[in-house]
Amino acid sequence: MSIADFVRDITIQVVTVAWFIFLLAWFVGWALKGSPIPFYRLKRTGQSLIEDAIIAAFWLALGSSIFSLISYITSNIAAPMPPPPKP
Amino acid sequence: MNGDDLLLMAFNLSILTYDLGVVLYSLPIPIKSLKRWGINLIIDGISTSVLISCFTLMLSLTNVLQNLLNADWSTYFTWIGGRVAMIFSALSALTYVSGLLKNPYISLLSSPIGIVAGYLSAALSALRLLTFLGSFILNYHRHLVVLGIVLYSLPMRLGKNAGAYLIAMSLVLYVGLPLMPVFVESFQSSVADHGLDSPSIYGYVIDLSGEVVPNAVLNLYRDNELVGKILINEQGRFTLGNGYDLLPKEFNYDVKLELYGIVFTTMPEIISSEMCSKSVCSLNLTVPGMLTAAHGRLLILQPTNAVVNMVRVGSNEVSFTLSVNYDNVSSKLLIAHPKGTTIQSILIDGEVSQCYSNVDFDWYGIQVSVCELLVVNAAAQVSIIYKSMYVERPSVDEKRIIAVENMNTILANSISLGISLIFSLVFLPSLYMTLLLSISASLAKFLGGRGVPIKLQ
Repeated sequence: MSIADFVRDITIQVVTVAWFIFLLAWFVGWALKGSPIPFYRLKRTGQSLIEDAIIAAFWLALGSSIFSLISYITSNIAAPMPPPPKP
Repeated sequence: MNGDDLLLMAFNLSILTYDLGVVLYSLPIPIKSLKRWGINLIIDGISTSVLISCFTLMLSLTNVLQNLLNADWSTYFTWIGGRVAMIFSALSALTYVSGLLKNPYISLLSSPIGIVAGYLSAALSALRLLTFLGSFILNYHRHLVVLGIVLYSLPMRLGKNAGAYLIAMSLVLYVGLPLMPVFVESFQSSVADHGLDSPSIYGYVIDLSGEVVPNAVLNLYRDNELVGKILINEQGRFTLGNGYDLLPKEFNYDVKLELYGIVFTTMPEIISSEMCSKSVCSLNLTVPGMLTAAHGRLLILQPTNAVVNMVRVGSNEVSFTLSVNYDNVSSKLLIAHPKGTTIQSILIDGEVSQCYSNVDFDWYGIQVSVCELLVVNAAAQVSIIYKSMYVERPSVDEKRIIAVENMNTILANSISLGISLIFSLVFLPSLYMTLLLSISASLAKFLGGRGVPIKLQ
C-alpha cells in the first residue's frame, strides 16, 4: 500500500466518522434542547450543536464538489498560458 | 515516487484536512476554539487544493518572469566561473609573491599578503557555495516546490510554515539567482584599478647571427653596483618584473651579459623606464660580440680586431668567415664550451688546427673549457665540428630587483585590492542573497505561511 492509498483510506474512515459524529451531534443537540431542564444556556448549547452539525453536514456533503470546482477553475486558468516573451 | 504522485498525495492530504476540519466542527463539544480550529482546517484544505491546482501555473509564471527580467542561468554560471578563475590566478600570484619575499626589507609584506590570501580563500568558498546553490535550484526547484506543497498540505498545520517558505524560496531563487551578476556588476567598483602597477619587461637575448642565447646570466648595475642577477631561461628569454621583480617607477640599469665566465656588452647597453612607457613591454637584447651554436652550448667570441660574417650553424657544425681588420695580421679566436660539449675538430681554411692553449674553470657549477686559436690569414674560413651531449644549466642564485620605495604603495594597493575583492565577491552576493531570502519570506507569508497553530482555550 502506497502512502497515497494510505491517506485515501484514512480520508474515507474520517468521512465515515464525520457522518457518525454529525448524527451524534444532531442527537445530542436535540437531546439537550428537548431535555426537561429549565436552563436557558443548556438549551442554547443544544441549539448551537444542532446548527453546527447541520453546517458540518452541509460542508461534508459539498466537499467533493468544492474540490472538483477548484480543479476545474484552476485547470481552465492554467490551460491557455501564453508562451513566455523572448528577450 | 515522482512529482505527480507527490501532488496526488498532497491533494489527498488536503481532502483529509478538510474532512478533519468538518469532524472537529461537528463535534458535540461546546468549545469555541475547537470549532474555530475546525473552520481553519476546512479553509486550509481548500487553500491547499487551490495551491496544488496552481502548481503548473506557478512554474509557468516563474518562467515568464524570468524571461521578462532577462535572467539567464548560463550567464550566471559563466560569471561565477570567471570569478573563480580570477581568484585562482590572484591566489597563485600571491603564493608566488609570498615565496619571493625573502628580502628582509620586504618580509613585512608577507603579513598583508597572507590576509588577502585568506580573504580570497573565503571568497572562493562563497563562490563554490553559489555554484552549488545555483545548480541545486536549477535542477531541483520543481521538486522543492512539490515538497513544499506536500508539507503545506499536512493536516493540523504541521508543516504549513515550512512548506510555504520552501515553495516561496524555490520560486524566488529560481527567478532571482540568475540576476545576481547584474546586481553585483552594477554596484562593484573596478577591481582592476587597484592592481600592483609595477612595470614588466621581457625579451630575448640574441647573438650576432640572430640565434637566441639560453642559460646566460644577465647582470644589471646601477652606479656600478650590481642590483640584479637574472638567469636567462632555456628559450633564451628574460623577464624583469611580472611578479619576479618589483621595479621602481623610474630606473636606469647598465646591462652586461655573462656566459661561461665571459662578460659581454649588449645592445642596448641600458635598460631604463623610459624604454617602457606601458606597464608591460618587450625588449630584445643583442650581443654583437658573441656567436653561439648548439643552443648556447658552444660559445665563440668575436675577436676585437676581426669581423665575423657568413655564419652558418648546422646541427653539429658551425662555420663562418673571419675577416681581420686592415692594420692587423692575425687575430686570436676564443671558443668556450662546457664539458657537455666536445669539439671534434677545428678547420681553418680547410686545414685542421689545434688550440694552442686550453683553460678550464668552473662557472656557476659548470666546468668550462676555453680554447685559444690563432688565425693568421686576413680572411679565414673557420669551421668547428662539435658534439653536444647534454644540457648544463648554471646554478645561479638570482638577485631580483625589489624596489623598497614602492613598499607603501604595494601595501596600500594589496589591502585595497583585498577589500574590493571581498566587497564584490562576498559582500554584494551576500547582500543579494539576503534580499532574495527576505522576498521569499514575504511571499511565504502571502502563501499563508504566517498561520500559527491553533490553541485550545
